[in-house]
Formats: sequence, C-alpha cells, structure tokens
Amino acid sequence: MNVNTVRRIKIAKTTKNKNILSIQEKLAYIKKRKFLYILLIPVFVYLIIFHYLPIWGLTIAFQDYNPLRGLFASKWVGFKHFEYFFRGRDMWRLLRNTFLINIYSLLFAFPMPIIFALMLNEVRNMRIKKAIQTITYMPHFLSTVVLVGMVFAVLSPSTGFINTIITKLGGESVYFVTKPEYFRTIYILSGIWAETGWGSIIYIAAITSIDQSLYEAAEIDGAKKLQQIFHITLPSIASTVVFMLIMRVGRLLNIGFEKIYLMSTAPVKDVAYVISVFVYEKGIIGGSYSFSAAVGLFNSIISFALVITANKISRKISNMGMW
Amino acid sequence: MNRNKSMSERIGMVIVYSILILFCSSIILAFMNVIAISLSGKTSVMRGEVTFIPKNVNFEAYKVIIQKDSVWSAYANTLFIIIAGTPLQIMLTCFAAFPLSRTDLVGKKFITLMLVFTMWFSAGMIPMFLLVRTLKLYNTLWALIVPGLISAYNVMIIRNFFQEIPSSLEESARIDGCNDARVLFQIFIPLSKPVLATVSLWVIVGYWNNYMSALIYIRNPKLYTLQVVLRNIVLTGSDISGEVLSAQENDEELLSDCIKYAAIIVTTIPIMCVYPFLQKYFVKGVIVGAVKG
Amino acid sequence: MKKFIALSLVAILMVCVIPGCSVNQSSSSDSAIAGSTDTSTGGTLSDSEAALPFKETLKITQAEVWRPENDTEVLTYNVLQERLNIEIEYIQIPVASADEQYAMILASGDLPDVVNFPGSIYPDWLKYEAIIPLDDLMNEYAPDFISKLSNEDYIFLKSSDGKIYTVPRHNGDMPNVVGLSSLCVRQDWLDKFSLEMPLTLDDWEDVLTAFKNDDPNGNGVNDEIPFGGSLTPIWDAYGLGQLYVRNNDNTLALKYKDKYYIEAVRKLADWYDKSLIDREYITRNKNNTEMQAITYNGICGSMYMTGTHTTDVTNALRVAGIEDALYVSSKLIEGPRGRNVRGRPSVGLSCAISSKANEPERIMQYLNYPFTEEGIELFNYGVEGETFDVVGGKKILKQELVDGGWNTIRSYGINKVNGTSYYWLSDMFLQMTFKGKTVDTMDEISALAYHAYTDKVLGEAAYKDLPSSLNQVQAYIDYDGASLVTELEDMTNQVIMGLKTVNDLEKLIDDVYENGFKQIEKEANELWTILTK
Repeated sequence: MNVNTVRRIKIAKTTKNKNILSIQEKLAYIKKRKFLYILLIPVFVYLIIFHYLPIWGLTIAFQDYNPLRGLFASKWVGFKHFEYFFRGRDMWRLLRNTFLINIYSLLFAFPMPIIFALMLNEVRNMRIKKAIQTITYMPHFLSTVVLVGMVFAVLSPSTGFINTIITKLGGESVYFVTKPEYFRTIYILSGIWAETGWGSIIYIAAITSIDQSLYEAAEIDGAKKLQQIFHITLPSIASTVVFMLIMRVGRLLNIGFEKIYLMSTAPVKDVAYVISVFVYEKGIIGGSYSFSAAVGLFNSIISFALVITANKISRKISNMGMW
Repeated sequence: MNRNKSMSERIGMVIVYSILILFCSSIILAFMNVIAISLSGKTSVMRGEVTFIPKNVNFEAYKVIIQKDSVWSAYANTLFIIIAGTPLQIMLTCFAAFPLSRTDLVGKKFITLMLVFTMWFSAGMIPMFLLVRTLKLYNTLWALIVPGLISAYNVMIIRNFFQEIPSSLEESARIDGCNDARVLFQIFIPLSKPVLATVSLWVIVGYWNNYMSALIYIRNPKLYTLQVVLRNIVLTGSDISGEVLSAQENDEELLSDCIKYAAIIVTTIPIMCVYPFLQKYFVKGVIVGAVKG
Repeated sequence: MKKFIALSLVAILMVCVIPGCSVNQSSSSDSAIAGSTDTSTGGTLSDSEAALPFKETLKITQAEVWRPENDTEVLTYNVLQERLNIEIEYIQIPVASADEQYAMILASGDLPDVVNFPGSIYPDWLKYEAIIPLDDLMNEYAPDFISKLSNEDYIFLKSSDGKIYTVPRHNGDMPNVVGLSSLCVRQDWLDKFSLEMPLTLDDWEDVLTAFKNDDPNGNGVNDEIPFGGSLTPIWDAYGLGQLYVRNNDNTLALKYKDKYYIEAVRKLADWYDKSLIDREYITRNKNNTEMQAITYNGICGSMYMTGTHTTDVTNALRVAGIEDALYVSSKLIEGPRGRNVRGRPSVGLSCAISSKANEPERIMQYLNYPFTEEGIELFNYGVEGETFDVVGGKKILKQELVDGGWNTIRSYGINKVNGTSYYWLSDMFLQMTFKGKTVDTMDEISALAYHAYTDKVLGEAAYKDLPSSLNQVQAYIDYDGASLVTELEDMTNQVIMGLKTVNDLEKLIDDVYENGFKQIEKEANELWTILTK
C-alpha cells in the first residue's frame, strides 16, 4: 500500500459514508448546484471585506499603537502587552473569579430558559401564553444601570422588600450587597430574572416546529406528560440546546463589564474583580489601545479553543455539534 | 381526546402555573414601579413615596423627552435602520444558511469554518473604524447597517433549523421537479417561520438597542440614534469629570429619576409592540400533514 | 425568477458597500480643515493679519462636548463668528460617551483644530503629542487671557510636563465658595433639643447622638440618619480631603501616611458603629438623587450638599407638613486641622489646539477673545437688547431668561458648560441663582441659600483642589496609582463598616507605600516644585 492509499482509507473511515470526490467530481457538483454558490457570493464578499480584511488590525496587539502614526508605522513590541497582562496584580484571582461566576452561571442560569420554554409549552390557553411571553421578556430591556439600581433597592437593609419580610418574620436585616458570600448569588439570580424570558424565545420557536402528530401518537401509546417531554420535546430541540451550550462554554472567560462594575461594593471586590474590570481600570490611565487589543486577542483565542473542545466532546457524546 | 390526567400531572400543572404567575407578577410589579415613578411629581419620588401608584401625576418627564427635536429625528433614524437593515440581514443570513444545510455541499467545512471563525476573532474597534472611514460609510446611517450584516451566530441557528426539516419533504419536492431555488423559497422559508421570526426579533432589537456603534461611527447629531439621545438626556448633569459644578447649576429637574424612568418607558414600549406582530409566526403545527419519513 | 432576485440582491449589496452610497449628507468635516493658506511661517503674524476681525476668514473645526440642551446654532457662537470673521465647524461629542468618542478621534488621526475636553486632558493626547503647548503662543497672542491669570491659576493650568496646553474656562471673580457645597443641618431639630450649632468634632458627636437617640422627627421610630451622605466634611476636619496633604514647607504628603489618618478612621468607625453616620453610605448612589431623598423625607439630620439645598429641602419639608422645618448651612466641623472646605478651583479646562491645526496663531487670538471686555460681556450677558438690558449702569439679564433657569440661558450660548473658553462673572451667577432678586427682596427661605453661599466663614476655610496633573506623573502610571487608591479606599471603608480591623488597614498602607506610592509621592513632589515655582 502506498501512502496515498493509506490516506484514502483513513479519510474514508473518518468521514464514514462520504465519498472522497475528485476535483472533477467537485467541479461538477458546483456546476450542478450553482444556485447554492451564487447565494454564497455576497456572503463571501461581506466576510472578506468586513471581517478578514480588518483582521490585519489585530497587529495592534503587538505594537505600541500611535494613532498619529497609524497601523503601519507604530513601533513593534511583540508580546510586551501580553506579558503586562499576565503580570497584572492578582491575575489568578481575576481568572478564578471570572471562571467561577461563569461556571455557576452555566449550571444555574443556562437551563432556565429551557425549563421556562417547556413550562410555557404546557399552557394551553393561547392568550395567556402570549401575555406571559410578552411580560417575561420585558426585563431584558432594562438597562444595566436600572437593573442594578432595582436590585440594590430590593436588597436595601432599611427599605428593601426582602429585608422587610425578614424583619417581619423576626430576623435581622442583612446588608446583602456588601457580603461577598452573597455576591455570586445576587449576580446570577438577577441575571436569571432579567434574561430568562428573552432567552427562551429561541427554544419556544424550536418547540413550535415539532410535529404535533408525534405527541398524538405518544398519547395513544399511553405516554405520560413527563415522558412526552423527555422523549419528544427535548430530543427535538436538542440541536438548538447543544448549539447554545457550546456558545455559552465559549464565553467562559468573558463577563460583561457594566453589571459587575456597578455591583461591586468595596467588601465584595475580592470575588467580584474580573478581567473586564481590570482592563477598564487600566484603560483609564492611557496608552491602552494596544493593551486592550492584546487582551481582546487573548480572550478570543481562549474562547475559540474552548468552543472547539466543547464541540469535539459534544460530537463524541451525542453526535451533534456546531459543525 | 384527553385521557384523565393523573394526580401527579395535576400537581405538576399547579406548580408550573404558580411559578409562572410568581415570575410574571414580579416583573409586572417592577414595571409598575418604573411607570409610576415616571408619572409622578419629582418631590414625591424624592421622598420615596412612590411604589406602584403614581403620586402627583404629571407628564413633565415625558414632556422633557418628547419636546426635544433630537428625539424625533433619532426615532426616524432608528426606524430607517431597522426597516432597511432587517430584511437585508434576514435575506443574507438565509443565503448563507441554506447551502450550509446541505450535507453534501462541497467545501462545506471550509465555508463553515470561515464563518465560525468570525464569531470569535474580530478585528477590534479601531481597525473597523478605519475600514468604515475608508469605505466612506463614516457618518452615514449605513455604517450602522452594513458592518453587521451577517452574524455567524444567526446563520448557525437558521442552518440548524433547516437541517431539522425532514428530508422526506425535500425529496418529494425534488421528485416533483423542484430545483434548489424553489426548495429554498417555496418550502424551507415558509416552514421556518418561527425561527425567522425569532432571528428577526433579535435583529430588530439589536438595531434598536445599538449604542456603541452609533457613538463611534456617527458624528452628525442629526443622525444620532435613539439610544444615544436618550442616554444623553438621562446622564446629563451627573457626568462632569474634573469640573466642579454644583448641582445648582444643573437644573435639578434633569437629575430626577422621573426622567430616567420615562426614558426607559419610551425605549421599551415600541419594541414591545413589535412582538405581537411576530407572534403569529410562533404557531404550532406548521408541518401538520407532512409525510412521515 | 428566484435567481433574478438573488442576483439583484447581490447587486444591491455591492452598490451599498462601494463608496458613494449615503442616504444623508455626510458632513464635510473629513476634507475641510483650514481653508486659508498659511501665511505665517515663523509663527508671527503681520499687524494687518493679526487685527480682529480677521481680514481673511479663519476656518476651523472645533470638537466640543454636546449636551441635549445645547446646540451650536446659538446666539453667542453666531455673534462670535460674525464679529471675528471666523467660520467654525462644530463637531459635537455626546457627553455621555465623550471618553470613547475622543479616543476614536485620536485613533483616527484626523484631529480637529480646536479640542474641548470634558474634564482633564486625556493622557493619550499628551502622550502622542496630539495637542501643542501654548506657552509661547499665549504670550504673543493672548494678552487679555494672561492678564486674568493669577499665580495660583498657573498651578492648575500646567500639565505634568510643566507646560500649558489649554485655554480654560475661568471662574472669574466667583468667590471661592459660591456655588459649592457646605455642611447643612436641621436647625429645627437643634432647637427642639436646645442645642447650639455644633463646631468641634465633639460638639458634632453630641448633636448627632441626640439626633439618633431622641427621635427628633417624632414618629416613634428610630429611623433617623443623623449624618447622611458623603463623609467628606469629617475628612476635611482632619485636613484629609485630598490625596495629598500640603505641608507648611509646601511639600506634599500622602494622606494615608498622615498622622491623623488612622485617628480619623477610628472616629468614623466609631460613629458608624453608633449609627451616627449613614449605615448605607457605601451604596447610597453617587449622583445625589438617593442622597437627596433621605433629606426630602425628613430622616436626615445633616448632609454635605450645595447651598441651594437648604432652600429646596426647607421648602419641600414645609410643603410635606413639617411646618417649622429649617435647613441651614453650618459653620463646618472644626477638627485637629481646623476648618476646611473644598473651594472652587479658579480654572477648569477648556480648549486645546491640536497638532494638526494649520493656524495656531489666529486660533489663539480666537481663544483669547472671551477674555476681552467684549468677549466677557458676550458670554456672560449675551447681546444688549436681546438677552440683557442696561439698567442704571448695570447689566441685567432679561427676566424670561432668568426665570427659565440655567438650561434656558445656556441655549443662548451663555455660560455653556462645555465649549469655548470663558471668563465667568459672579454677578451673572447671582442673578441666575436668585432669579434677579437681591438679598433684601428675597424671602427668608431663599435667603438661606444666599447666606450659605456668601458666608464668610466658608470663604476663609476654603482650600483649593490639587491639580490633576499630579496624578499623571510617570510613576502614577507605571504603578497604576488609581487602582492602588481604590484598594486603599476600599479597605478604609471596610474598616469603617467594621468588617476589617485597623491593623489590616495599616498593613495595607505600608505595603502599598513600599511598593509604589513612595515613588509616586516623590515624583508628585518634584512636579509640585515645578508648578509652584
């Protein structure tokens, strides 16, 4: 067996049923389905102009970008910014905080929109269902500033709703927002409250597309509600769930800056100090174009790596993935 | 049709309904608070007297916002962006998603990768800014439409849906003589109404909420979009860095929560009106009667 | 058919992407910088060129911070351009996002001629030499401006390299404390318990304790906050209101190392423990609405707020039913370093000239104009007959403008918060604040504010802020001074709240000092010597 044959066999094994096409066969395919490729032309044009062309700009991360000299004439500094980032104060604490908040979020916040969509699916009355949908996606539109203001107001030790109940039940009021042990809970719970409704829309759409007759058949076979959910609904929306999950995993090191910044009172900084806040604080002092670019690039690489890993694992387990 | 529900199922439904009611109530209460404050007299708000019912009802806060010409032109600008951008985006996203949903597509891996790569590696604010200027899109509303025209995320979502459509439908269509184009336009798109409605909603809301791009690419105040103008109104007076200006010299009218909350209502209500229009696409049983494969 | 649609969509997309497709007229700011030829090579203008109004129209672009109530089609700007024969194209930057916008302007390298910063100069602009030093230009072309500067002003104008980069908004003859904050207190509560107006820290402690324990608002609930809001007045009593303490020999010392710092922290922790200060001061939001709320609903006994707060709160409380409510400004707290209150700096920052400007000389003349007699009148009173009248030799603003409030008058371009350089007259401030009334004609409650502003004691106790250039020395940037300060402040607050001990604080201070602030302090002192020469 020569090298080529070995390769062909290897490829044949990994692609299972796919045939390896020769160049002529490929061209023939393209010619036959040229409509598909015509559709892709504007997509290509767009991607190249707006995504791949400016990628050259990523070199800012390796320069000391001087805006008056431009991209091509600024000094080249290699990995200096990356080193500066890693040597930042408490880098491990930053990574730990960011990572932990995201893991908890993944465990608790990610399933919520799915569960909510499933619950909503059980509501028979169309009017009520629509009303609930509209109501629940409203909080998504509250700006972060307002949301945090509301959270603080509800948790205020003197006038907040929660503490009023606690004191009425005989307990002592707690200054929640200054206690590090509550911080993650508050952060995630407020996120759940605000984003569940909005996040469920895609799952509701997916559930809507399920063939009704499947349910009817299942009923005839005597399946109970829960079984129907587990055997029909969930598998049907599985590809969507997997997709969203992989995307979420990709964001394991990202945390939006605004909400955390607004919620960090002095005593909780230990757990609330995350990468985005660190970058923001650095940015104030100046000279930061290249630094932010470097951090952004680092973020991108890590996220991409996470996504690829998650995708591989998902394929192994469920044969479904992003690509 | 309905067999008798078992006890556990009844309890389950009660729990489900309770949770939904609690959840919705908390949201309704929160928004009642927002609306009440926006309609109340400034002093009552200051004294913390307003919870769910407005006191000293007045429309001052709304007047402040509505009377600014800039708000109306901002509205118009935002509407233009939505009306021009949404169909364009949906169309192009489908153009990308359809070929990628064909399992036998030549070059599929390459194209998918090319697309997916952009989800994580973007050039950053400054190179994009320079690009937009080079393309003479700077300071026009198109700068807020064109650079974001195809989102790989949306493409993937729609592609997934296309892939879920039973192949039997497509096969029977092809037997009847349909080519790719007709399959896309006459079968796939009609069947994908729920997901297209979802993505449209995301796109519209994205345009509506867009703030950063408008700030960076637009200098002409007549072209400012809604979020920029509203945030300006709300944050005026509480932003002065370095300058020591007393609150006296900023009419304290503008510091009040009333204005802030009125701005929220002004931003949120129109978008909420969009949803009912799209809701009719979230209808069950679209594939009723399809051939089982 | 479908193919046709697809293809035409492709065509549309290409057309849109290719240059030339714009729905609205894009402004011509990209191409038009200075229109006139640069006739001055050596930096001096001939007499005919220098005379105002300019013989040849000066065309410049000016980046200016924009607020919704502002427009650039304002009276004063139009008049200015007419009188001097200038054409200014204004680039409006929304105030809420000024930081990002200015960063973009700098990043694009396409700088306008005149740049108006919303606060202190962005360090990037200095670092990349995007703006030019003005010292020589000032001496040549801005005589009126220079004549208005006192020695102290130079300290605030100079940047960390000792040069001047902006022509400021000058607070003119505004007395030191007019318009600023003072420590206000509920006189009626004092009267209720027959207490004298407190002076020293100990007096204040007694008064605050009475406020806390004796239920002054008479509702039977222990909900009073004796000292609400910002803790600044207490820090001021120890002389620790700023990052550095000015010693007698004119050196600067870091406040955290000051002999009174730990003492102050202990005092505050003690008061927090006794609930004499607001237990929620750390989350009571910074932009005043929440802070004001606690005075408006009558549970706050004293607070550090602006003078007009006295009038507003008294009125609001009386309307709400507390008939004898009276909120007056106090005489400040006298601590180990006497009485101190933050005064108004005499200069803010305003307009810089960018390094891409073609005609810095004539631009300097334009920036000088608001300091001339004519210019001062224009920007403080407007145009005679239109916005003010001369009555008995004094300039009186028209009543509609005064009644309309600050936003109205700013819509005429008078006393704009950001924009062209400006010299402020206190007469105008008083006219606006007291709506044209004098102290004889205003009622007793409004007079409260008047007294708060003009109180002699406050004037004597006022100190000037330290210039921001001290925070731009190289060491501050290298050691990331801002986050060090944040750490120290956080720890201080936690000690005050009883969550950490004084030992923890002392350890942190020593640690931070050894590892950074020592160097920062040293360089700040070097700069200070240069500034105060």
